[in-house]
Amino acid sequence: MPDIFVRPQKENKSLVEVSLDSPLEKISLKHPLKFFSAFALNPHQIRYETQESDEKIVLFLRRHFITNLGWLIVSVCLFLLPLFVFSFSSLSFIPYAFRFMGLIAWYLLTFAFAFERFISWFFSVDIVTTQRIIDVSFPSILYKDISETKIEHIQDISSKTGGFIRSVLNYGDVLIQTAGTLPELNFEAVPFPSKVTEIINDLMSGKGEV
Amino acid sequence: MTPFDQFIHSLSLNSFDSLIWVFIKILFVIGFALYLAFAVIVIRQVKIMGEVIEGLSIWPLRILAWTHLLVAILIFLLSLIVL
Repeated sequence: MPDIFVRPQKENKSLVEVSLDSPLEKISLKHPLKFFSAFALNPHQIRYETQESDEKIVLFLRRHFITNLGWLIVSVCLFLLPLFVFSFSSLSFIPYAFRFMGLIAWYLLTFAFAFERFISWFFSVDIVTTQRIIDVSFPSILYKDISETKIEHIQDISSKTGGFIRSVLNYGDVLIQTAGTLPELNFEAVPFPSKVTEIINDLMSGKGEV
Repeated sequence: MTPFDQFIHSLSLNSFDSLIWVFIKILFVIGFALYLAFAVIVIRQVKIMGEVIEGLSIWPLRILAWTHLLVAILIFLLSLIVL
């Protein structure tokens, strides 16, 4: 018997589709994943090492680039220090070869410090997928710490922005409390913390289910 | 000159001064050798870190890490020659 009326099937909107008309899309267009990106929405070009085939990365986060300012200033000071030392003090009692190699050693250590800080920032990322939340942390070059929790294990999520620079540049911490063995995940100094909270809340309530 | 005389002579100020610089030279060489090991670890760690997130463009870091190792080798050799 032919159907008189067929109800059109409701599309299962994923966050990826929802976001196309939302303000988040503007953010993702304004902040595509680049080398120094700290916030990227739906970065299709990257993949987590244990990512499932039906899992999509929704958010890619790093600490805001301004958080690197501390070690950048220290590095510049360390770089300039020998110029002051050599101009204000006579080190003639040290043989020339030792002075030369000492200077090279100083700049090597300065470079090592800056490079180690940079790659620690670069590779410490937070990832929100359609199924999990992953916090990849490299506190130093020899330590790797990966924490993850499933979306359904999240109990509470809150964001915190305090201080002048954080308010002006709109970055802060996102605290995620879970019911799993890991009590808490902390996204430190990430850009747009309220947007991050909003996206994770959407995923929790099922709007982001693909 | 008896061995005892040689020992007394080795304790003279000039000889002691040069001994200090030899000691510092050894410290420098050991330091640069340790730095060489650090440069190797950096290359390995950049590789391991890059494997966690596939698709991140980490080629500038890899080039920098390899250049860093090359410079560390050259400086280690330079320390053996210059000092």
